[in-house]
Amino acid sequence: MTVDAATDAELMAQTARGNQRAFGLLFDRYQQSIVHFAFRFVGSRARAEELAQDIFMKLYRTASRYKPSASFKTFLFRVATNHCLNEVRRGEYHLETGGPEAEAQLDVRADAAPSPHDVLQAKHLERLVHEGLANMSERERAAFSMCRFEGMAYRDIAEALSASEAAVKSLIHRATLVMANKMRRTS
Amino acid sequence: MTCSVTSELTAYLDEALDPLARAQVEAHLPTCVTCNQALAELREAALAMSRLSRPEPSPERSMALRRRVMSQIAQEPLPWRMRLAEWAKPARWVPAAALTGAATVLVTYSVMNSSNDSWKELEPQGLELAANYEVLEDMDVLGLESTADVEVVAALHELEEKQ
Repeated sequence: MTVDAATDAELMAQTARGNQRAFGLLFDRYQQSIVHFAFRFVGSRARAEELAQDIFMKLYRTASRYKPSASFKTFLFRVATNHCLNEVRRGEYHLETGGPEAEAQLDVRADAAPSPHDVLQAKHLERLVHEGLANMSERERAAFSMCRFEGMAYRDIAEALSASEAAVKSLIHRATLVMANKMRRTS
Repeated sequence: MTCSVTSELTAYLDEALDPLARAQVEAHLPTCVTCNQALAELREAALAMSRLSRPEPSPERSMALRRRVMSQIAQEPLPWRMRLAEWAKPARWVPAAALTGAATVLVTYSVMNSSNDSWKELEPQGLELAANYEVLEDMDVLGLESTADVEVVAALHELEEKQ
């Protein structure tokens, strides 16, 4: 089997043996997701990329700890969540809201919103999401992002957060309520 | 007012409830306007998130991040297993072994040659005697190994001639 066709678990096993090309393939597969996830914590593209770089370095260094029986994506997001939460708690990063810099980060793809009206609506929604996330706790934000933007199951989110499923259910419910209230108030 | 199932509504929406809890929510919903309204708002929020397009960086920006990460990776030390495997590679020890072997052969050859030379120096009389073909024949047949034996054979030859 070629490296390109290998599963995430196989690539991770090769990474643990020092295969940097295998790690490069994993990076290519998950770069966007991790940058996006980090962006939801710090609201800045440049800072999100800094966090993403740290996360991938941690992933590389802990490759030997990954057990193939577990979902690689869950392992990756556990590393990512721990890193983002630690950095936010240390005060290194915080979610930026409002202002011209935050507006500039709203990088909506033109092909996803062809008309000017759609572009405006998309930017409006993105701003709402940004403000809604700022009103959540870090753990609510992490659980909400993994659920709504990465499509992860509650049990995988629980593993990534080192929490129970009941706790995750509560986090996601509160976070989704925050977002629903935000949308109701602005509609 | 908060109903008993309010906290379950989002999980119900995400199909993350066990069958019993799901049945309880479904039994409650037809009887509660508040919960139905809350569920509708939660559903709208969840749908809006799914419609949100993921901001994508330019290819140049993605490549720049990739270069930074892979460059940093390249400076990481290899896992210890890999370091051990590198050290034990044939490409490393074969040349060394070959060199050692060659050196051993060279030393042995030198020692052997030097010992032959010293024999010649020590017994020039033996060489003189052995220059006689007949004596050489006898040496070979009799299996003589020393010049003393050669002298005895040479003396015997003289006796034969006299007779």
